[in-house]
Amino acid sequence: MRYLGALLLTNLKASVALRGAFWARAVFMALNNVIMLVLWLLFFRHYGDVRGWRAVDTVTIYAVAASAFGIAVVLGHGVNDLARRIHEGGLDAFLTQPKDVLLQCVASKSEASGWGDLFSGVVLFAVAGFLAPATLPICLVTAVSGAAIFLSWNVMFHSLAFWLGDTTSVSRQAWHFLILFSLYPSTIFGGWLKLLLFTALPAGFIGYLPVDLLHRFSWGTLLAVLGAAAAYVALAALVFRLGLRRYQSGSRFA
Amino acid sequence: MKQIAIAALAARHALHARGEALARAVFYLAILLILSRLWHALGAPSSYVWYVALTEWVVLAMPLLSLDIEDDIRRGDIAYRIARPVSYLWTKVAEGFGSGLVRLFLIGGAGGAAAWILTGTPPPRGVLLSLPLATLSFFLLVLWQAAIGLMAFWIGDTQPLFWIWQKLFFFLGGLLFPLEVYPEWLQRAAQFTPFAPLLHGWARLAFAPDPAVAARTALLLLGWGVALVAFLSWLYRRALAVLDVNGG
Amino acid sequence: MSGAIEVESLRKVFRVRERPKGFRGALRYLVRPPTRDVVAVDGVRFRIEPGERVAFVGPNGAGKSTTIKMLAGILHPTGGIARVLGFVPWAERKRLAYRIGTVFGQRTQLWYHLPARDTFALLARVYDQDDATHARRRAELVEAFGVGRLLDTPVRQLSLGERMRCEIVASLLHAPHVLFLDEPTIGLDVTAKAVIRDLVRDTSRRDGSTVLLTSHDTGDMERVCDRVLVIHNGRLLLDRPIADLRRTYIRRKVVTLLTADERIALALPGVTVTETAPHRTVLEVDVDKTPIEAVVQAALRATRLRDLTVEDPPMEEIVQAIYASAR
Repeated sequence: MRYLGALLLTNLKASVALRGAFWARAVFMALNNVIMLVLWLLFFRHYGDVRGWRAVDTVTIYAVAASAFGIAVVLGHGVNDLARRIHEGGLDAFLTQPKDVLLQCVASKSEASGWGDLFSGVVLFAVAGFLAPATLPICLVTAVSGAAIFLSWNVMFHSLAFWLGDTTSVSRQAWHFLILFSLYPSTIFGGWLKLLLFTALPAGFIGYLPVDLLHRFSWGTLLAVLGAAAAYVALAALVFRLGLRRYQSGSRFA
Repeated sequence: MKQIAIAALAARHALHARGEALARAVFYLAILLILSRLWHALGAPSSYVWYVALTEWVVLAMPLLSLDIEDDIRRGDIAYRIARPVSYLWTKVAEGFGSGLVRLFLIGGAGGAAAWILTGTPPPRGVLLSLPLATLSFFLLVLWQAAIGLMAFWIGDTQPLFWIWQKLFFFLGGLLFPLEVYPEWLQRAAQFTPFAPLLHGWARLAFAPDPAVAARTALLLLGWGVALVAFLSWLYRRALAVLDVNGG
Repeated sequence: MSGAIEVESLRKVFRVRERPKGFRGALRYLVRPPTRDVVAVDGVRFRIEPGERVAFVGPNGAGKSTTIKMLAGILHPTGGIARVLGFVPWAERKRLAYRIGTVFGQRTQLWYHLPARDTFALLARVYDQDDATHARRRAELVEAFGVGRLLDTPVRQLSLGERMRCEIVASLLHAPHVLFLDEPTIGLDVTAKAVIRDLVRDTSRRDGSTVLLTSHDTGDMERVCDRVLVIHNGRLLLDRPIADLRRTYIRRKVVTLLTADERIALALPGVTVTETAPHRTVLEVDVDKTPIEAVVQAALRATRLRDLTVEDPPMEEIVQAIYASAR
C-alpha cells in the first residue's frame, strides 16, 4: 500500500533528522553487540560447548535476534509510547484519520540504534556462513518473523493500559525479559521452562527455532516459526482492538 | 551534612516506588534462573551461581542517575538547581546512593533466597565478607553514573556512551562469568582497569574467600573512588563554566 | 437537503471509578470498584447546515469536547443519534474521516522533527489524494495561509502561531466538508489569534465547508462564526445567531468619553461609571432605562467632548449572563 510506504519513509526521515544522534546511536549499538559477542566467544573458548551448543550457535542466535530486534525498533519504535498515549487520550488524533490506529502509533517513531543491531545481525549471519543463497531467505524470514513477535509482545503489554492505566514501565520490563531469554544457549533449558519459552514467552520462536532451521531446514520448523509469528500478531491486534473499543466508550473521564 | 539528609529523603522516596523495585527483583530472579541452569549444564560449582547473584545484585540496584542528570541538563532545570546553596552534583549523588541503597536492600533478600533455592546450598562464607565491599563498589557505580550524566553538557545524548561503558563494565568486571573464564593475559589486563575491582574483585569471594584478596580489593576500590571523586569535581567545575558561558 | 451535522438527544455518560477511602474502602475497591455516573452530555439537539460556521461555547467540563469527539467518531455515545454528512460517526469512522478535518489545539498531527512539507506529503497518502489534486490544493492553502517560507523548517523550530497555521493547512489539504476545531487559538498572542480566525473564516467561505469550533475564547466565536451554541452542564442552553445574542441578552452599551474637563458627573437612571481617569470616563448604559441619545446629550451639556465611543459589551459578559440565567 502506498500509504504504508509513505508512513515508514516519513518515520525514517524523522529519525535521520537528528543526524548526530543517529550515527552515535547506530554505531555504538553495533559496538555494544560486538563486546557482548566477544564475551561469549571467550566463554566458549574456555568451556568448549554447553551440552552440544557451540560458539557458532551463539553467533547465529545473536544474528537472528539482533536482526529481528533491529527491524522492530527501526520500523516500530512508536509502540513504546502506546501506553502513555492510551492513558493520556493521545489516540484521538489517530482516530480522526482514515487509517488504522495501531499502525499509525507503532510507525510514529524510529530508534536509530536499531540500525546498529541490524548491521550487527547481517555481519553475524555472514560470519556464521548463512548469507549463502541457500540460507539467505531463511535469514530474512526469521528476522522478519522475529520482529513481528517482538512488536506484538510489546503491543500486548502496552495495550493493557486500556484497562490498567499507564503500563509503560511494566511493558519495558517485559521487553527486556523477552530479549534476555532469547540470547542464551537453548540446551540449558529443560522441562517446564522450555515449554514456557514456546508459549507465554516466545523467546523460543525468536531465537531457538530459527537457529535450528538454519542448521537443518525442515518445513515443519518453518511453519512453526511463521505460525507463531502470525498467532502473536493476531493476538496483539485482537487485544488492541478490544481495548480501543473500551477507549472509545470513554471509560476514562475525558 | 546536608547530603546525608538528602540521601535519607531519597531512600524514603524509593521505599514508595516499590513497583520499580519489584520489576528489578523479577528480572533478577529470571537472570539467576538462567545462569544457574547454565552453570549446572557445565557442571560448574554452585558458588558460581552465588557469584552471579552478587554481581547482578549490585548492577540491578543501580539507579539510572545518568539519565536523570541528562534530563535535567536537557530541560534546563539544572540552571535553577545550581542556584541553590547545596551543590547540585553531590545532591544528585546523595539521592542516587540513597535510593539505590534501598533497592539494594529490597532486592537483596529476593536474590539471596533465589540463589539458595536454585543451588540447594546456603550462601558460602565469602558472601558475608563481600557485603561491605559490595556497598563501597555500589557507591563508586553511582559516581560513574554521575560522571556519564554530566557528559550531557558536551555530548547531549549520553545513552550511547552509557551503553559502551556498561558493556565494558560487564565484560571487564565479570558480570555474568567470573574473570577466571578469560585467558590469562586478559585477566591480568582487566586488573588495570577500574572495572575488575568493581565486581569481580569482591564477588569472587563467593568461590574463593581469601581475606587478602578482600583487603586488596578494598584498597583498589578506595583508590579508584578517590580518583573518581577528583575527576567528578573537575568535570563539574568545567560544566559550571559551560553553564556560565551559555547561560543555561 | 440534509444537514451537514444532525444531532438528536445525544447523550454521554461516563462511569468514573471512585477512589477508595480508608481501609474498608480499599477492600471494597478490590472486589467491586464503586463507580459514579457522570453525565457529560445530556440530551443535546441541534442541526448545522452545510457552509455554516458554528461556535460551541461553554465553561470547562460543559461537554463541548465530548460532543465534538462523538461527532468526529472518537467517542461512542451512551444514547441518541448523530449524523455527520450522512454518516454515523462512531460506526463509520474511516469513511467519515476522509471528509472531515480536525484541529485539536493541544495536540499536533505534524511530525515534530520534520518540516511541515513532509507531513503534508504523508497526508496526501493518508487521504488517498492523487498527486495533481494534492499539489494544487497545497499551493492554494500555502498561499492563503502565508506559510510558504515555513514549509522547510522543522516544526519544532516554529513559533506556536506559525505551527498553528501549518496545522490548519494540514487539516484542510484533503478538502474536508466539515472542519472540527477544538481550542485552535489556545496559547496564541492577540495578533496570531486574529490572523488564524480570519483565515479560518475566509477559507470556509471560499470552500463552502462547515465549521464547528469549540473555544473558551469568545473572540474566536465572534470573528469566525455566525451562530453560537451555548452548552453548560451537558445541556444546550442556547442556539442562536451571534447577532441575536447581543440584541436579546444585554441591553447595555459601553460609552467611552474623552472630555475637555478633567472630570464630569452624569446622573442618569441606568448609567453607571465604570472607569475614570483625567479627561476620560467610561460608562455602562442600560439602554432600557436611558437611550444612548440621552446620554450623549447629557454629556454634551456637561462638557466639550473630544471623542466619543459607543460599543457593545465584551462577549464574555454576554456569555456569563447566559450561564447565570440558566442556574
